[in-house]
Amino acid sequence: MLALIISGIVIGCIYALIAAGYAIVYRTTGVLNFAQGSFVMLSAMTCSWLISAEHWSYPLAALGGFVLTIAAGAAIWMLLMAPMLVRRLGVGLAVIATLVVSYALTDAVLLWQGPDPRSLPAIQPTFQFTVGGTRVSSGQVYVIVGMALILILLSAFLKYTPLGRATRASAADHETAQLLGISPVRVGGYAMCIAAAVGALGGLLITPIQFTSASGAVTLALYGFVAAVLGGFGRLSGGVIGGLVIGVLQELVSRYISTAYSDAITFGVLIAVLLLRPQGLLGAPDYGRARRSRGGKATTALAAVLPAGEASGALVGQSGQASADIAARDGT
Amino acid sequence: MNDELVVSGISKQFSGVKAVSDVSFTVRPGEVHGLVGPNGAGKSTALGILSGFIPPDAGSITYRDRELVGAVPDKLVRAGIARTFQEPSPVAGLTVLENVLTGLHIQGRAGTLRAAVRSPLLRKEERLLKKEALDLLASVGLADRAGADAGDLSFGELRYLEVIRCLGTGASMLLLDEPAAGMGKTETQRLTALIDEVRSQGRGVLLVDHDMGFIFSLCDAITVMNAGRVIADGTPREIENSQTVREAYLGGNAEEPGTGGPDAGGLSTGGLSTSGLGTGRPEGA
Amino acid sequence: MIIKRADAVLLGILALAVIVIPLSLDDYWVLTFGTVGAIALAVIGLNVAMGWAGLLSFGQPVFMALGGYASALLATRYSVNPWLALLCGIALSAAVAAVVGFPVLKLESHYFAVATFAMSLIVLSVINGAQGFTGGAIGIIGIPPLTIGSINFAEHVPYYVLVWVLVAVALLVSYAVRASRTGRAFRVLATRPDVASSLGIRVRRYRVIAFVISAVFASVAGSLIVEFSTYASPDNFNGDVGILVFAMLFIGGVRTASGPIVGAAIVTVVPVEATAIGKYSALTFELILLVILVVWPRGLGISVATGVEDLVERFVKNLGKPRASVSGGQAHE
Repeated sequence: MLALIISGIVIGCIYALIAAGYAIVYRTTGVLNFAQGSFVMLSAMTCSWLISAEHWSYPLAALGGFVLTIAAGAAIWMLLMAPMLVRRLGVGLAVIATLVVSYALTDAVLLWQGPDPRSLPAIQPTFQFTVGGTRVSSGQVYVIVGMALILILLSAFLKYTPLGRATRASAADHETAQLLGISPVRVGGYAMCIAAAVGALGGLLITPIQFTSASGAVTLALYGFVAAVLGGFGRLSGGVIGGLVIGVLQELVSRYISTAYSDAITFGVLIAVLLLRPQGLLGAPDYGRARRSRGGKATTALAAVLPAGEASGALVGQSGQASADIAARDGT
Repeated sequence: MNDELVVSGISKQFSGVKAVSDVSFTVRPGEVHGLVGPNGAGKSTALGILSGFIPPDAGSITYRDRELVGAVPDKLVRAGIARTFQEPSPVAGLTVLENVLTGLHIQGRAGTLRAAVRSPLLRKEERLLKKEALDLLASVGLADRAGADAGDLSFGELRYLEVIRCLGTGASMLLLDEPAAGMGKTETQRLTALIDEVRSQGRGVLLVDHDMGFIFSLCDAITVMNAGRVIADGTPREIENSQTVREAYLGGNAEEPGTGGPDAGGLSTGGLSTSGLGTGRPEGA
Repeated sequence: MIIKRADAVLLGILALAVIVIPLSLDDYWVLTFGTVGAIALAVIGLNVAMGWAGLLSFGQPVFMALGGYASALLATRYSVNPWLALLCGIALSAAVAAVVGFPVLKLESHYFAVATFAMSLIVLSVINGAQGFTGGAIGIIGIPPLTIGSINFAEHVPYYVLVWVLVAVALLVSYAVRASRTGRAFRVLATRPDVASSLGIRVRRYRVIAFVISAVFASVAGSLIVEFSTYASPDNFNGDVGILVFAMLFIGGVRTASGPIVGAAIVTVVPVEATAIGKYSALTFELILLVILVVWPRGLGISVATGVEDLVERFVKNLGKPRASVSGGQAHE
């Protein structure tokens, strides 16, 4: 049982990293980026391929995977998300697009490397120890410690660096962001790159202890999303709590009920949280609000910065402003 | 049954700023009631609260013996209170006629199942609704544009559309949000006639606007707001002569048309057509 | 005009094709286009919910599964008449859509999309898990087919006819709804729910209605697919199907009558036929879909058709005009 919990915690750390990626992109752009799981997958698969097919050294291959994944994140932003958002197509379609991208990346990797799951060499130095009769491997420790380090650094970055503050400004106060000359399009791009970087590191950390497969990208993205929502969307710490809970829950359900039902329970939790406590366990601030506001219009960071306007045709839900705040400030 | 719309003690804060503070007034059936005030006075917020878009922190709204404060917009419409939007909001992709028909939605009864099979009841109802929609369009001279795409209308025509769509709901209390803004002289006159007609039907109208000439030409009663509070409430004559109101708008100099003088005590008067603060209509908006 | 001209022309061409195919092409095409028709039903349903009412739903596989498995289980386990089983599937799907839809539809559009996607994964998970009841991953075999007298609808030609008759009915019904106050309510609340609310329209109720309509169409599609193959398996109804149906709608053209059919046809037929791209087909479609989302959010089929219509119009106009003089006003001394 302890072994299960530890495995759950380990995979939960990856969910936490994915959740952090969601948080960053959502805060700046209002889009749920479902390519998050693909970032995890892509770095690992690339690294693995570089080692086996191109005979790169492990560190170099890891770097290669890392860089490629960030490039993918930037490309997704520039070619897909930014054009869609700039055209006021609405956030909903952009979200769908990221889901499709996720499938596309999976299929691309499948064509490139075939369907076999891949793993990576263990991270050195290796060691192991026992806790309460259960063996804990170094790989597992690296994941947990790695996740903590990454998120601490990320949190510091967001608070203390100009770019990090720009990201937060863009989300929290659109007018100030505009006045400061922060281009929402550029900030969105940076957010995607950061999210990709975080995901990439996650992939490099987990694959030494667990096989990664191309087709797992979408499910990873979804599990990470559940973790984010459960813990409190938009909060890094929320992602950690949510990730750990979901990770452990999945392990326990798989063992004591049935692996088949694991998904049902995981997504059942998602829907329950969205409906009953959309702000999650820790409660997120403004963003992460899952419900439609009174009157039906919603505010999202990027949509609020760009000129308000109807979505093209009746395609998507709400874009444009109309939060009571803005109405009152314009007010007569 | 009390057919008055009684607004009492409405307050709303946004991030520590009191947009609306203890606002009260009454709109009677068959009355056009103006709601005016300088920029930032809280009129939009008050209207938002009355129409169900903004839940207030405190206060009550009663109409026809029902407490309606905090109710969602569609519930208010069913209770007989409907609004227009300051920004004309036709539905894109629908024709002018279809837009008016959306306003007539609650007057219809046929449900989706009947619609799916095009039952006789539905067809009959559609005919009646179409006729009423065309009548409404005719009342503002737009009957010939029925088939046009709503996006092709001019600004003034869109404003008419906004008002008649609201009329279509059958509401007996209409909340009109700056219906004349940006309209030329003839268009304003036509709108005035329309609102007059609405009043003679026994409906009540709350008219929020900046154009004082328009307000004075129509209103039976006026409530003046400033900085979230009601500072004056009475007949047009009383408001006209009120020193408090003058100070709020102009800093004391009411007789000159169009002076718009320097702000008194830092109050902004942007956008206000002060030439109308006497009687008589302005030249254009 | 209820249907735009380009759309009507496309629809006419499709109708013609539907009639001609079984008469002139061989059985393989009858089979293929029978399948296209069935899935087109689900796409038409999505058009109602998403195209008109603006609901980003990935829930079609949920209701296809409900309809399919209702048909399968009732007809095999409980010896219910397959037609009745199909109707039960519809009732079940409508009920689930209403009950689950009501709370879920208060979510913002992108959360709603994710929730419906999650629903399809939950259903898949439960089907796999409850293998005693549903046959798990193996599925259910030996389902009695739909019959009328001696006509067996598990055979290619009768199935084809049944499917396309139902598609025609679906189009008529959906457009009838569109022309009514329900349809107008959908169209207002899709882009301006605040305006809808200000006109007395109960936004959530109408969203649920749209969702239920899409569920009903999907349920019929699921039942038909299962009844035709006399076999039900979770593979028919996985999460990817939700994306595929969505892709079909976008490739064919959102908010059109022809779009769902065109899209279903392209996405079904092309990967099979263009064997050159065979294994690349999934990726190709995903990339195409992405391009479409960015460049032609109205959908490819109708954009192409409208473009063609514009070209034809200009051509026809120019036929009547005298040729413009080449030198015009230019000085050429």
